[in-house]
Amino acid sequence: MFERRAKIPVENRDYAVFYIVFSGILFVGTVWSVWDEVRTRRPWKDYQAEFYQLSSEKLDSLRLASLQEVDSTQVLELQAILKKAEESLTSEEYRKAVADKDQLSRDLDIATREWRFARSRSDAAYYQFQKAKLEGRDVAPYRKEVDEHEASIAKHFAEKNHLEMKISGLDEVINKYKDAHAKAQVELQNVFAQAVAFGAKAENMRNNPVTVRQVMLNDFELTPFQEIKARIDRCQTCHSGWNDELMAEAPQPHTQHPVPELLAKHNPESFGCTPCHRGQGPALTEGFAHGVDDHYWETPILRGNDVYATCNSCHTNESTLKHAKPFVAAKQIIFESGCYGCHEIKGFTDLPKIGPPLNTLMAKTQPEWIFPWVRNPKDYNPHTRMPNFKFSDGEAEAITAYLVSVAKQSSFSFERPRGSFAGGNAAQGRQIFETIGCQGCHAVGNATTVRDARGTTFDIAPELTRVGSKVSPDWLFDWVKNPRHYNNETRMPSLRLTDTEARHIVAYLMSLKDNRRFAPASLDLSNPEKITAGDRLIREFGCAGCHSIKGMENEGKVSVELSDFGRKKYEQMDFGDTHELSEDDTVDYRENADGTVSVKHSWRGWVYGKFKNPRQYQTERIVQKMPVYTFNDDEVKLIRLFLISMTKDVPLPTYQRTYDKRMQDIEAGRRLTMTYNCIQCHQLEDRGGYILPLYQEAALGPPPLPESQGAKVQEPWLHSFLKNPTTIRSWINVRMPTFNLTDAEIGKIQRYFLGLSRQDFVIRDYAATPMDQKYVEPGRKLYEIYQCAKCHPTGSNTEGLTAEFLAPDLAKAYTRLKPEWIIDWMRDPSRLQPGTRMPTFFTEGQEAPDPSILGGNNEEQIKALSTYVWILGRRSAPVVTK
Amino acid sequence: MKTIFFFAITVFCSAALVAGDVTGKVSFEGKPGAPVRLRMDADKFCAMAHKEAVLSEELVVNKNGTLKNVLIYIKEGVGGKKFDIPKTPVVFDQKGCIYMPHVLGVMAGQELQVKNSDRTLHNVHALPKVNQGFNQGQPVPGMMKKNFQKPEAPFKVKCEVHSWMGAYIGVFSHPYFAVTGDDGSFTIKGLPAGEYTVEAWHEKYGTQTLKVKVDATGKATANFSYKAG
Amino acid sequence: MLEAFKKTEVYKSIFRHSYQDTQRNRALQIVDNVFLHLHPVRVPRHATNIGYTWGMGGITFLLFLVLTITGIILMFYYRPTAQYAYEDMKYLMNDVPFGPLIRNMHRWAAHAMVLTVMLHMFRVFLTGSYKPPRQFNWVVGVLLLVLTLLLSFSGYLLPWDQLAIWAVTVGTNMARATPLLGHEGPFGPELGMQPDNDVRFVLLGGTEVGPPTLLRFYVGHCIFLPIIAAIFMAVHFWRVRKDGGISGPETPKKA
Repeated sequence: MFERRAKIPVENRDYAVFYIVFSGILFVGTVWSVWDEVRTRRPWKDYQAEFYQLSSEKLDSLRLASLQEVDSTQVLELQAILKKAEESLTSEEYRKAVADKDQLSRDLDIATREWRFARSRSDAAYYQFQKAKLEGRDVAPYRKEVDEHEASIAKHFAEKNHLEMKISGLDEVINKYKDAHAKAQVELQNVFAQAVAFGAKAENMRNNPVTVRQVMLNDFELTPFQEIKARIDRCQTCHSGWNDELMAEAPQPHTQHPVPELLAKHNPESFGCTPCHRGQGPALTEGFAHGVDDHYWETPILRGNDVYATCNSCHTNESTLKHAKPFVAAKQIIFESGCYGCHEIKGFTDLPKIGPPLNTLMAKTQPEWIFPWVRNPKDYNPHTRMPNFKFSDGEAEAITAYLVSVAKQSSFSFERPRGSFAGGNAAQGRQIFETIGCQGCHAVGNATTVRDARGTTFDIAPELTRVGSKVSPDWLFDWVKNPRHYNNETRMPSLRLTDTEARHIVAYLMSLKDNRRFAPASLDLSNPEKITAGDRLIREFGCAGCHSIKGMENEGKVSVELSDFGRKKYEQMDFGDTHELSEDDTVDYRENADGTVSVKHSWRGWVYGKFKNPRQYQTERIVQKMPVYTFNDDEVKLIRLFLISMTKDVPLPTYQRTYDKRMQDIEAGRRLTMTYNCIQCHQLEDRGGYILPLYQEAALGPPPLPESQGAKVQEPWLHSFLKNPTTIRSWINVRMPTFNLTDAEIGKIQRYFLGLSRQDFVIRDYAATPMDQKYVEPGRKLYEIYQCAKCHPTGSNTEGLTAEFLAPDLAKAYTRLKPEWIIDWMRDPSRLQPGTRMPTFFTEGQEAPDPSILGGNNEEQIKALSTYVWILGRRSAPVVTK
Repeated sequence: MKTIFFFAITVFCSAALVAGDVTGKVSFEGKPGAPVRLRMDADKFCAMAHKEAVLSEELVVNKNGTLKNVLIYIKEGVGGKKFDIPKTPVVFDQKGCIYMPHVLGVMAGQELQVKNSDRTLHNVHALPKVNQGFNQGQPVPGMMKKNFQKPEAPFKVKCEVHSWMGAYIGVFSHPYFAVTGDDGSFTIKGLPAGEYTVEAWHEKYGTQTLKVKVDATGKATANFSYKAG
Repeated sequence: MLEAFKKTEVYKSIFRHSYQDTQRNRALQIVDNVFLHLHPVRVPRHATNIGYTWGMGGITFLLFLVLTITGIILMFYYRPTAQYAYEDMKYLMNDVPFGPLIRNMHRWAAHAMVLTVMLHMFRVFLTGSYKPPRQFNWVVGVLLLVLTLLLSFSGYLLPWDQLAIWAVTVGTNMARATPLLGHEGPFGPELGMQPDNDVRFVLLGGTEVGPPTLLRFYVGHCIFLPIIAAIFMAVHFWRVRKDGGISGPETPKKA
């Protein structure tokens, strides 16, 4: 191609073609870059246009629907009325009135003018009069003139008044017609008002400009160099429909944001979007805004349930968040699994060890049980929280030897003599076990109702299916009578068992044996080398993080701190021998048919694989100490969610949630109730009540809502109740156990309940609550007429009534309940305790059921009944005022 | 615009001019079990109110082999039509510690008069899922007015003082429902011509559906049959 | 009328000579122009054979000019402090109209300039254009190469993202090992070189890459290095002129 060109002398060669071609390319390139800049890189313009179109279409269809619903007979009527009103405006009467008014108005103008002139003339005359008086001349003619003018003023004034009166009379007539006409017009318009409104909105939508929308949060966070930085969110530019109800079903990016109650508290207009959803706020294209195409963006958008992780950035240490249930569930798993035993985690620092102390094991069990347990806990109890350390036989033996040697040095002895347990009946024991509430925490065999209600793969109390092969009966008797004797930090409460009951239970539990056959292991437990090896292993694997062991009280946490784990780069993570899943794969983790595992090389993939099997990434040379947990898929995802929230990159304190004293009290109370696992039986703040399906005798109803206790019960009573629970509802077999709480702990619980009820902790003398004398007798009458005693027995008067009917003994009310609560309760029981069997007797706006007492006034009758209940059962006279 | 709607209204109205009925019977096959006697010992008043034994109304088979207390209603075919709410209230009474009637239907927004004709404490605890429930005590003879705003499938009403008392209420957005009586038959009047799905509901044996067509003559039949066991 | 305008003093002071196509005018147009007078008035025939040099040196210079102009535009939107550097870059990319275009042009031109510098160097070597009397110009060229690479390196830090900081950290860590002047280099510690007073410290304005480094690199990238480069380019072009103009094939020796 270039041979012909090579023949031309070099200085004569023509470069025109090259110039034109390259100029053309440059031109095209320039045009492309301008187009790219203005349109291609600004997809938000298209999204907004689409949104406006969708929205206006919807509004149009609503307008049409509204028009459809218009009652055309009504429209015809109103139109007829309007026509008549219009016609009336042409009627004789109206026209005459208008004409008359015109004429009279003109006359009035004239009269007013004349009146004013007369006044001026009078002033002038008066001046002359005064002047003459001053000058000593004769005032009579001037006075006469003044008087004449005054008369003239009066005359014109009267005329003016008269005209005004007539005009106002005419006005009445005129306005009658006009008002009728206006009213008819307005009524006709109102019929179409809604449609017109929709139409106007639709038109607005069509004319909206396409513009960037942003929210600026000044002084939001710190850069890595500790400089204050603002945050700018432009998400609304594409997601224009986030606040539009009509867009609830629209496709993304126009969909309305779900959970409007949550948005009301975190208004995106002042809060932005990225503090919760992450992503790159200032970017205006999808890939960059979501932080996905921008590979170096460290906080890409959080999808699905992961969005709840960011709640922790501002709501640090809040255990219950109404709108973030997945995160709350994740926190609960961390709390109950005891991850903080090995890992330092912010917000989980002052928590008790989740495992029992290991200093006196020989009183409880024997080495033949300890050894297989240490080797694999899940073998004995598949739902235990203790994970599997995968010790070899030798290692397990060493640990057992150490524990046995520690136990031998203890001086623990039982409270009662050996053999006290004997004489119980296993069948009766089973009956007691199943009725007083043990199943609320302990599962046995197939009785897994409570575990299913909880929904976790682990139990918080040991499963007792094989307990007969684990413990000694002496220990068991000692334990069920008083758990704190063996372990003074245990969370197992005392069920206040009598000796007989305890013996029955021991007989029952000891009958639950492990029926599998094991080859007995020969253990060399007194070998000092083994004991030393056991000591070393226990320290190395950090057992002291979960168990108290003598001599190891000062051991530190054996693994890494997780408070910033969410920001760890996956490039720093070790994937061991697992295969790699490509970035485009839909899952993060896959178990292959040949037994190997493929993990996506990302933070999410690594974490998922880690919790599926914590020893996943172990290789021949790199050993891992983390023991193996058996969480299910949902739990793994929740734990991952929790770890996403572990980041030090949080907004500045001005944006964080501040906790007043009340919230702090509530949070302290929550932690305490989580420690003692109150939610297993009671429902607290929408969680818990797992025991309900078990004891759901249809009419029994749920255990009382502790949240209401702050407003409901007297503080001294609650204190003594929590110290020593008494029976309030004697017909129910399930017992509230005795938790052996300290005074400080009871105080925390009190303040928790009071905080929830928004009341302050004040010392009151309830006995001195004054009661009005005039209510006593009517109250007694009402008590009889309304037959309260039909359900509320006093004393032991329960003949003929079965459990479904019964209600608490009201004779005890004055010691237990707050007087103002009694009144609230009587007004509307189902508001204070939804689902209660107590009926509502008084409905607002309606007369009381018996109108003869106290004039049938609801409030008065309520006061009367409350007064009567308050003095019921008292032995000493209450304080009664006139 | 106005003409179109005038037209539409005329068309709608004309459709209502032709009205038909659906009649039928609910039969019961097989032997019902022995009737359960209600024990009213817990309340003297209730025990004394009845000379003979009171039987449970859970399953009442009439002498002619039909089933009583079956609620029949139109499930589909009515469309989104709006109906006037009848001014007459439906009466729901507690007499002799028994609810009367045992099964009833009411229109959404229609007034329900809840009466206590006994001189003892009753309470009416309604347990709907869609509507707002209530638990109202009636310690003395009297009457209270209630109404349900939304249509709902039949739900239970019980008394906390007397556990044997129970009744069922169904709420509908249209007036096309009926309850079978002592002869096991029912009639639903006033249906415009068209195809409908009729559903029968019984508290123990559940629901059954049938399709019927109300034609120009205005009559249609729907017979249901429940089996024991 | 145009003729009369051409006779005014104003016109004559701007356009010094007429444009008739005479040899004199042709020469004057080049010689009288400040931008063009570095070019020879006349070129040898072989100079028109662009296939000999492909104009790599000239393209490099063209890219340098592109970089300067786009760089100046970028300077309007960038503040070289740790607090603002990254944000300004993001602002440029997201908000400023044609911002991405300018930034990308700057970056592409930078990469292309390094490439064309290499190609130019290869060409000079392969055509033997370093031989006497052009040895010194080769040295100047090498200096220009170093300056080009330093400009690239200093510019890399300016976005102040993770990539920038760590790349510069790795690069400047080499300075520790400088003999005599680095605190980990031969004889460095003996001469009292500490991490806080050696040549790396001077480079970074601190012991690690931080805000002073950014400012230092910015000033270097925008003022210091371009001026030095301009000076050396002037020398380089002057030497090319004086040493006989653009390279060409060996002229056959006359027998």
